[in-house]
Amino acid sequence: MRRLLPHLVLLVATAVAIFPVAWVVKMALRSSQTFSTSLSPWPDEVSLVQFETLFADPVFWRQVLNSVVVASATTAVGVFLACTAAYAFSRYRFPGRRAGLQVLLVTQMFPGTLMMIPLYRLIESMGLLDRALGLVLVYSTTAIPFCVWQLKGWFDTLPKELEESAIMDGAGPLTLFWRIILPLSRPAIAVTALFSFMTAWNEYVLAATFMGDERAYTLPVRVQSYVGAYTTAWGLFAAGAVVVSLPVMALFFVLQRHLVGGLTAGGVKG
Amino acid sequence: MIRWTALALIGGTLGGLWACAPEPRPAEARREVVLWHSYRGAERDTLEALAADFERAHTDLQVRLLPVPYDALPDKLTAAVPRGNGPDLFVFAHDRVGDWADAELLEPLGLRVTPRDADHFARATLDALSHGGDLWGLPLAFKCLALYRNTHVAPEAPATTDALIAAAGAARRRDASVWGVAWELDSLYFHAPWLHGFGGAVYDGDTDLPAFDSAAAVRSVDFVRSLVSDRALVPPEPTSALTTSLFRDGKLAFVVSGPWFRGELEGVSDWAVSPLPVVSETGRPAAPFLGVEAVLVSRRAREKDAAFELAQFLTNDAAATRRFMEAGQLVANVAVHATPEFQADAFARAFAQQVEHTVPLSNRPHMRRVWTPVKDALSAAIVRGEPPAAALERAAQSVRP
Amino acid sequence: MKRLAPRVGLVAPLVAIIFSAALGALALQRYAAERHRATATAFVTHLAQWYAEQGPAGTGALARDARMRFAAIAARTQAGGYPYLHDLHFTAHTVDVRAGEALWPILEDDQAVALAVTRPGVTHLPSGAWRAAVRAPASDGEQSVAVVETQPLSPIGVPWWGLAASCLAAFALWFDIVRRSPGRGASPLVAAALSAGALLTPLGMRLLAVDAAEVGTTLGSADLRGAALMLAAAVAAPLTLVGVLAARGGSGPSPHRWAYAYIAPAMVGLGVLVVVPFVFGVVMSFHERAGGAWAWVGLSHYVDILTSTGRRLWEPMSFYFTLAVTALWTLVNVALHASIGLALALLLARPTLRFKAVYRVLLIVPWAVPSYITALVWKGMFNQQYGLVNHLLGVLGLAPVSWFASFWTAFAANVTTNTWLGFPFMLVVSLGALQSIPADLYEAAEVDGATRWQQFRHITLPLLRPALVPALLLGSVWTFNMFNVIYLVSGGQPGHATDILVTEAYRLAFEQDRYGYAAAWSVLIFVVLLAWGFLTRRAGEDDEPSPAAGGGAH
Repeated sequence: MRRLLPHLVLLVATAVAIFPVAWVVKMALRSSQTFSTSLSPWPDEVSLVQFETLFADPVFWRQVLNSVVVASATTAVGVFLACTAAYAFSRYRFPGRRAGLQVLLVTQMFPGTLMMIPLYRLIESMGLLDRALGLVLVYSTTAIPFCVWQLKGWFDTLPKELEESAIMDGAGPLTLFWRIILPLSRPAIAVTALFSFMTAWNEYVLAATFMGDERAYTLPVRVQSYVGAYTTAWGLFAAGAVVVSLPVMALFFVLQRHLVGGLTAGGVKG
Repeated sequence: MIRWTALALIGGTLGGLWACAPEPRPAEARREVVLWHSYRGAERDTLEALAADFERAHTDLQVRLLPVPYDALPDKLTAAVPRGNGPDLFVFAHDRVGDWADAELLEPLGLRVTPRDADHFARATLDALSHGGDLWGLPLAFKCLALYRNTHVAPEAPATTDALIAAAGAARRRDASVWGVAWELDSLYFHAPWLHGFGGAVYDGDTDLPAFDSAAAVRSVDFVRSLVSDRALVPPEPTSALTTSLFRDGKLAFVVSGPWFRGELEGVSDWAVSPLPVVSETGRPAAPFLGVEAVLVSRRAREKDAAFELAQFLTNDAAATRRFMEAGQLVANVAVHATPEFQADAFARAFAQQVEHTVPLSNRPHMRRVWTPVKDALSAAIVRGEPPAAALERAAQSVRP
Repeated sequence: MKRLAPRVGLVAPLVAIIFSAALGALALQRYAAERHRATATAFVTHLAQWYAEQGPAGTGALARDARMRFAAIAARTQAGGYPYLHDLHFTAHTVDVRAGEALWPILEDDQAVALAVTRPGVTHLPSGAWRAAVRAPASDGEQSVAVVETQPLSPIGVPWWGLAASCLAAFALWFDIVRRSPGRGASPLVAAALSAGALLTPLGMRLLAVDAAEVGTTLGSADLRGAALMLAAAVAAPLTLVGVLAARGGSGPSPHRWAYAYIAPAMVGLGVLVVVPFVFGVVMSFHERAGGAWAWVGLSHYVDILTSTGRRLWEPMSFYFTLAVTALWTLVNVALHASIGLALALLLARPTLRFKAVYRVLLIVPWAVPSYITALVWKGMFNQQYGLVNHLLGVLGLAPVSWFASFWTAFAANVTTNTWLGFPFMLVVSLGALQSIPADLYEAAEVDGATRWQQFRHITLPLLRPALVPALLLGSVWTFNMFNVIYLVSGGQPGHATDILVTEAYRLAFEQDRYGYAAAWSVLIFVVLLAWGFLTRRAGEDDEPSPAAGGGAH
């Protein structure tokens, strides 16, 4: 019984986690565009017509590419900048260190809903309107504070003796960073990467406002365009939501290996 | 190394400033007209076909259409147009025309539209697009509420509210799982027919004084409450998803909804539309709000003349006929209303009849302030059972300047 | 004096370079605008006169003629030195006025005609366009009025590129100076010249007739006070930063320069993309939009909000009530997210558990599927009629609940949805954090006879702190500002009781068009969070590595 208890709890949690999503999948597999008000989440028909409609449009694939490019770039920029900044915050004691960390926290406190117009003008004055780079910049700055805090917290747990011995062996700062710190930080970097990716991948308000061409839209904008003034095309909306979710699941599947990497086996850290 | 970096940065600054200087535009390229809209499905396909026709007729122009998600469109316009980055023209509902005209986002069309052009459209739709003595857009289609009924349980169109209540009650008595009538109870847009039918109004004439706490308004709320609680004709929490689902399953006799509801009824055959009934207590017809979907030209358009030509093209009688036939839009062109195809379509005819008894939705900014307070009042009075007079008075108080 | 010189030598070049570059950029733009103006004036006058000479003509023919005419004039005036002619786009039409007849029945007041009759010539319109109206000779009671109007020209924007690049250049030069010549600063001559440039900047602005409104405003027709506020903030902030850095850096190469270099890109990016819009929001909170223009209202928005004008202090939609609801919302959600996430992570961290990978991937699903659709599905589940939750209650023998009719049930619905959406994030963070605890610690504790609970309390929790605290702190800030769930699920029902501060601000701005009021509301949200951040800053501070980690790691 003791061995079964964790499984029981996990099964219940998993069921609760997937249940509402089952409805989304159900609506995606129907051929009509109405909201499902029936109680059962099991699909009552399995029709791929919504997905066919989505996939048949060449602009859709272009938008998938845009989303992938923007989210990957955000992840790369966000993780890279956050790593360097977190390293500085963790290892160096410089004036303004504490204030800097607080500032990072404070920037998350501005309610974003009313910053649209100033942000628009800012991006426009940089000439980055209707360009993926504009979105990448904005998404990265949204993701950075959490990433820096997270990585800094992780770096704090890495003992300084490691670096000290490496320095005595003649390692420069770059080697220190790449060869010693980063490989040990795989779990934290995995969390950070996943978070940055999610921030960029699911965002649609800024993408809809900044982009001026349908071919430049990202995927969430397309999915949201199925919500109309009075009616929503639930079939296509749900199918789009399913398509939007799959890459994230895939990314997590790839990253989870690092999330539970073999640090606890002793080795370097012991 | 740092010094070189600094010099490079200064050089880059100067280069950047130089790059910011305006460049001469090549004179011979095909000029682009940009149109933003939030159409989907058949409406979008028809719009694209019409744009292609326009391009064929005007070889020096190219039309670029940009579909924008509906709830992102107003923000996108407000952000982009004042900076000159917006479209040349866009398709939107008329209710923000006053606001946008005052904010200098729209191009006044008064000087460009001759009286002969104007006669093509139903007068009420042009009134909806007028503000401050000028015309601000050309009407594409109109929308208003009407009465849908399940012809299986309610074969006849009720002419008065008493007839409606009788028919709904009868359907419910015959089969207890069938509800009588449904609409979004807490929305001013859906309550408006009854408000106007009892003689009430949202604003007092053209002033800024709210009039929805009048005795007539209270009577209208009482009427709806009686349908909900005394006669139990309305299902609890009638969201649009529930209403659609019940009607499709044949479990709802009457629905108050607009032309968009037809799109939800794929595969359902025994339904019909008729104008809303006359309120028995007052003898006035239940008059819903009239909404007009229009093509509006941006004040900062780069190609204003071309944009206006495209707007006229999209709203001329030939294009309107096409939009009606292919996309089912209720066009505002009177010539199309007179065609046999339009007359033969019972759906279109019912709405055209309803248009004669509508109240145009005010396009002035003061209209936007009432939706939330009135929604709160209706929610309190109809859904939660609080006294209507007090709830409406509170709402009016919060809107009063 | 001796001590003052190095400091002046450090700060002055920086300030001077920034201002000079900004001034140069502004001057260039000013010049371009001046050329635009000259071109536009000449062009519209010329064209309008030509039309007047042609007499009455139809609008359609006029438009085509206009294009041909434009090309001809353009070719001729190119040589005349108007390089910006190609930027002009224009409209032209004639108005045929017979006695007493107006062209468009609705148009009661034909402004263009009135203009041409009363004030012919070239006018500069508020929108930035140039309009010329010329009256043609009358004949038989008919007059022809030619009206030519250009495209409104964009107002001058702040030269961000110039400012940013010059700031970076200035920083790099200063860095170099500091690095190479400790304690001496720049050459006094250079410093004096650059300082003079900085001091002359206001005078230069005056000479070029650049007023504060053009430089500082982004609100279209905002007035001078708002613009002055923004300009002051934009100038004061970097100056303060520079002053502080220079003062604390002392004399000599900064040993912290590498640290600053590491954090600079992130901080600069944040500064520009987050702080600048916020400053605009603050300025907006001192204005209100009335009929298309912004009017200064000073502190009246803040007074209205903080004294709950128009409603009792403890009523839905009052600031204090909403603040209390938001605080409760944040507390309950963060507690639930953290406890559920951590509990599941602990279960999943057991080495002997099978199917771990499957569980992990499935538990991430609520985070992966976009919240804008799952929130609506949850809303459907709480529907009184067809919702699953009421159905389950019925199965358990309980009465169905109208979830959105009372505060606590609606609140519970919101919390359930948000917890479902939020626990995977805490789960992932906890999983990552658990990796930082070496396994031999647990082994050693077991050898010492500690129970699971004691291990949890004395090993797991303290060591998780540095990794979990960021997620908790930031998570609570995000939950405080969580817009989606409240808006989509309960919609603030009943009667705005379940609205939190952000959704209330959104309603004010977008449903009631009270942008200034909403901006003031947002500033207050920020102040509340700032106060909270100040109170909890000790939680975020790191301490020296605890003895457990230090000792166990060897």
